Amino acid sequence: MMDLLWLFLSFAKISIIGFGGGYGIMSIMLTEVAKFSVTAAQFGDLIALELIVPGPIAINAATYVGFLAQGIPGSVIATLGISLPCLTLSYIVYRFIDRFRSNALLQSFLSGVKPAAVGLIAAAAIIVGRDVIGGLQIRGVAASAAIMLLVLVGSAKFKVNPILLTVLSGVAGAFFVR
Amino acid sequence: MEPDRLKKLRDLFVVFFKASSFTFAGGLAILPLLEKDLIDDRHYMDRDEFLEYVALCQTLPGVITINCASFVGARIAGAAGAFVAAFAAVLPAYTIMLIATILLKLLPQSPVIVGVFAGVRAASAALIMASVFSLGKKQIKMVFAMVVSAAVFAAVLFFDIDALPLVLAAGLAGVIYEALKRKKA
Repeated sequence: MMDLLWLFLSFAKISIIGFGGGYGIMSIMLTEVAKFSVTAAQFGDLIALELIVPGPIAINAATYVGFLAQGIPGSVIATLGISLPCLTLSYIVYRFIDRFRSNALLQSFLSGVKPAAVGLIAAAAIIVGRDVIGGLQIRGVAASAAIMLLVLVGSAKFKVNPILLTVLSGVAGAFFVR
Repeated sequence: MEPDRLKKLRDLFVVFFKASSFTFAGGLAILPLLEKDLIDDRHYMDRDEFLEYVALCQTLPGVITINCASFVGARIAGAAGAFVAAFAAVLPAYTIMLIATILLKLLPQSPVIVGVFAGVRAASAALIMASVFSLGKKQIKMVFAMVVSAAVFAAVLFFDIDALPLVLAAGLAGVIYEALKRKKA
């Protein structure tokens, strides 16, 4: 029971400091979920799954991690944990929307928070990448690094469909990463 | 509850459930679907209002889709509307993800499968990094923003600092910086 409470609180925390959309939330989740024995490698699986599962990235992530941590009850609790705080906060903001719009203090707070979210996401990318490479032999390391570079350029520069990139990487992995 | 209100709640549920079921990889993709259903077809609100909510919900922390559902739902049908819309958005995501995760766990661990997963995970790391480039282009236009990002990045990677204090510190830095800028002007 206590475990479920911790799970809820952990995801509630993520919901409240999770700026930067889906990836922003996931980058914070990465460090949080280590507490529930979810590895960065499993996180990599999550990213791939999210490409083929519909809905908000953060919800998918909460469901996945919650399930790995505490089975079906865990998946429910984690999803509730990540949904309820922002639902409540948004509703409150809606009721006070006029004051919120023109609040300079709030805007300046956010001007610091938004670039922070970008930094967090970049760190998350490195952590997942590092973990992937960590468990492999030399040949696997070279292949993984090559895949990472190609996918990075393909996505950032050429806007190739991420699902296509992931599938190709999986195929490449089957052949080259042993 | 008046029949009108009930109808609105039902519509909210249907619209958000459908929209969430067809949105992949990212909360923002849901917006055109909502726009068409709520504004163009059912005339539940103005486009201007909707756009304002869109901007606002990206600014707040948490799940963007839920923030959006909350604003739109509240606007159309009060607190009940906010709850129904958010619930409808979460339901398909939760259900399908749960099924997918269970199926994933049942997969056998042959060398080929392990290789596939290694390749997929490598791609995942790279895709996260790629999103940094597009996000960075939008958010990081000044030196201050660059310094904050770099500092947070280093703090997480090299000093293992938790996200919460970093986010709060960054917010505080933003407040101080803006205040200093205003003093100079």
